[in-house]
Amino acid sequence: MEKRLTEKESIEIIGSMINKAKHNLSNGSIFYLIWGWAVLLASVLQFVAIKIYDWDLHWIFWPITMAITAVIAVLVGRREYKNHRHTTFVDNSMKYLWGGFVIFLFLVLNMGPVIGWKLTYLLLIGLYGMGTFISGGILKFRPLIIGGLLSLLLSAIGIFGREMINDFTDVLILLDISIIVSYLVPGYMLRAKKNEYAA
Amino acid sequence: MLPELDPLLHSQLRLQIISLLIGLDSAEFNYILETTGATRGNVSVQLNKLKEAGYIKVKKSFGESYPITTCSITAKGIKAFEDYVKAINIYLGSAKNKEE
Repeated sequence: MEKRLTEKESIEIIGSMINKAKHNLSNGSIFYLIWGWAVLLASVLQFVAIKIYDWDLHWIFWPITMAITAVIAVLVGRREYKNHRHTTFVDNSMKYLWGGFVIFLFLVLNMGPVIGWKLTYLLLIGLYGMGTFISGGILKFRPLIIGGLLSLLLSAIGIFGREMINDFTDVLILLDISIIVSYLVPGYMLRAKKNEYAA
Repeated sequence: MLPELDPLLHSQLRLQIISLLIGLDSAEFNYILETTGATRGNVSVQLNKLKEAGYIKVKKSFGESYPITTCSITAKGIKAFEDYVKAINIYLGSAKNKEE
């Protein structure tokens, strides 16, 4: 025989279950850090290859770094979500956001030989910013929103002032700043929140 | 006159399940089991009742080496839950008025 609920008990049950279903804000911090460091590494290596070694194959670091990082991200994702037995609306929104991001990233990269790599990289800075800006809005995490906005601003400055940028390595510096403010700093802040909850 | 409470939701375990699913895109059977603290058999029976009423959708798939049952709330379930919460609030409001 089922126990008859009082109205007060019903409200308590609803409140407690809704609380249990809340999204863990810091779940995805590791991915901002993995991709942030990977892009920064590839960018710095390309900078060094151009500035110091004047190497023609300076772009080669991108496919290598990104391929290795993709494998690492998949392995980390499998480990992180191994015991993940539920999906929140936030998880789902993130899946579509970053899925669309990757598709558009490849489209922009495909345009590189046509529109030139300077403009392509500037568009990518904007795309990185858009990713963190939207994900910050979904997570309601202000550092990601601010970081995303700063990257969009850097992209706008670069695009409108592209005639004044003579050296391609200047674009790489803009990219580095963008990655630090929109992925690495917010990523570590998210991670700190995770440790705060764990403590 | 006070509204009638949906008998399907006015039960501890079924209300726990629906309240959990309302905040999620989907949840696996084992997650519902852990979160509600109920027995496997009881959860299974109540999920079937909710499914038959059209309040939830149940999807069966296959994991690495075991079957996975995933549940999600339907539009009918969301409407029933909202009506239930409204009704409960009316009950609580009327109880408060009586006290005053």
